[in-house]
Amino acid sequence: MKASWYAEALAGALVGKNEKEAEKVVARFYEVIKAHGHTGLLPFIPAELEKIEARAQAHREATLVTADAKSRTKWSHAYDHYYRETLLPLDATRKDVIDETIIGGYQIRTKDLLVDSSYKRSLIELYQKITN
Amino acid sequence: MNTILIEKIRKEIEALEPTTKVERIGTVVKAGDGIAEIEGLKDAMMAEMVVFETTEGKALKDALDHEPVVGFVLNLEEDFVKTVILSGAERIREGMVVRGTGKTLSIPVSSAMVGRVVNALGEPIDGKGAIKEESRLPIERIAFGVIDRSGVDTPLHTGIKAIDAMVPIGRGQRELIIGDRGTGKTAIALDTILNQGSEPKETRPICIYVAIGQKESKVARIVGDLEERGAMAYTIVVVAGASDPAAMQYLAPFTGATIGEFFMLKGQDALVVYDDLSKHAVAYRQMSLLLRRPPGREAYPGDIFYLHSRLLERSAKLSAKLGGGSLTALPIIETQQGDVSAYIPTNVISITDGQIYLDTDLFNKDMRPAINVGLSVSRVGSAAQTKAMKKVAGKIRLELAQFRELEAFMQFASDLDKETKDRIEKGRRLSELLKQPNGHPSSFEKEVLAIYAGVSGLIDGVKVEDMRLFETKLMEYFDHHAAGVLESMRKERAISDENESELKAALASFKSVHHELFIA
Repeated sequence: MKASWYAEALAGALVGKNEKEAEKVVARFYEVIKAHGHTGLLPFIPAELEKIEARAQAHREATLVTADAKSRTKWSHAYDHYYRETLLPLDATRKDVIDETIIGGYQIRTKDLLVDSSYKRSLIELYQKITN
Repeated sequence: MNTILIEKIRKEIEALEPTTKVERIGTVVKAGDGIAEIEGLKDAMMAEMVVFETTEGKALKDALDHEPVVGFVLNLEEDFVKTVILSGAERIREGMVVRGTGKTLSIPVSSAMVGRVVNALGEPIDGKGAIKEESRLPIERIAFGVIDRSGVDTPLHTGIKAIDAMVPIGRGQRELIIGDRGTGKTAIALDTILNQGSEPKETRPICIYVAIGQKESKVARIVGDLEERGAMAYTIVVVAGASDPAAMQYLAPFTGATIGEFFMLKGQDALVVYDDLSKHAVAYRQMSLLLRRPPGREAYPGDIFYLHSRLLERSAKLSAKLGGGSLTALPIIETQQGDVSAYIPTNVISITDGQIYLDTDLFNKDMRPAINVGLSVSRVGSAAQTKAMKKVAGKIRLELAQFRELEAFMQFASDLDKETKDRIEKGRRLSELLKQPNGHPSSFEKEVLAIYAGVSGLIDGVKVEDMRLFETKLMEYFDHHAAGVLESMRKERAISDENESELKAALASFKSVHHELFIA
């Protein structure tokens, strides 16, 4: 048994619970882990819970990548467009990132979608077209 | 640089307009031992090709020269997909973006592959430059059904007398070569490839030799031998060496089958040698254990039978409607101390249409090829045997079976009657006649001639130790004095009454010319 498995089970059980209910869940969780003789894993479980939370946070994030701060406003309309088209999650929180290596254009990234309109990709494709 | 080329590039750059691409992606959460666990990639398919974004955060100049890292999906789980990385696993990092391609793993195939050495992805590794791609075919496909097939009716001559006479192989058949290490399994497969050189060009099968988990030095030697003997003119070598990742070793036989199918679908005949499927099973076991699939018998995964059956089922003789092409498979299995009842050997024995069993004891007794006639069988090949071979082969099998029984009996009995002694002596001579040096496949008509001489009683007066000399002299005699008989046998593929009388006369004449070879 791994600490991450216990952490995932606990995180799942805590979804939608209020403070009082959460206390009960944690107490019951402790009993289960003790019955299995896995109390040694307890110190690692909080760190795993943090990872799960960070991952869930990342899932809600939609990152707009631009080559510089100036073009951020220019490409915001693209972000809004895809949001309206429901390509991005409805509870998405926008995060702006600057990455000079994309040269120009923009990229919008969510957990399982990439909208790539960067100059870097176009140039790489052109290079491959010419050299192949 | 060429000014036309510069102009072309300039035009391309001027016309460049950044386009938008919407792609499904995932993120690497865990990687190691050639396996990557990916979160995301929601609509991933089994065996889908994925590309790891190793150029992220890299300047354009560095990104251009970057070889992409490719993997393929093998486990679809609730929140994750597990992929096997095909090469460059050391460049994978946690958090790396992975793009789904929406395509199952496929390889480039073309007629230009003939004469080349390629890896499990169909890429050339012989330093002879790129291979022009004709099409791309998926590495996994469902085998042809009953309606699309026709019966195995054309022989595939191996050039090895013992096999062509007693364990005949037909085009479209799957014949297993099984035996301990160092008993000549690869040698039989290579002789079969070499022998295809004597077939007319229009009916000559394209040979594909798939080396799985073998030492690179051994593969280099094999390629060198094939080149030296001119066999690379109709052969493709697929290599996933011992130092290649398990994923490449797992893919190699499927690549061989895909290349073979390409030729089969063009109406040609193809022969694939899988050398060997024991190592293939080991590579698949390694991958499965790393993918945390439940282990079964001998720690192999539960679908190891399906792995080999779906590979070997792709061998077929297609119906005339589909072009009448064929794909013959010669899988090789290495046994441990002659144990054919182990897990993988029994699996593959039950899948194939027969097996050629190579015996260590026979090999040590200098009986080469060390084929154990009692344990070897061909379930469909006899339908494809030529009339000429059928006529002589039935007798030799019976004679040898009687000899083996008497040979066992002889160990206990001290006083034997003359008839029994004669039978034993004849059996010894016939066994000697079936011996063949490595790398010297015989043409079909010479095989028939040697066996005819054996079963017709001509060898009765020849000393056992003179049998090799007898055979050499016989072939020389027929090449110089009775070439017409051989030629008509080759053309007709049968021994007609007229032919037989000529054959008998030529043999009688040989006996009188080389009387010194006959003691009585």
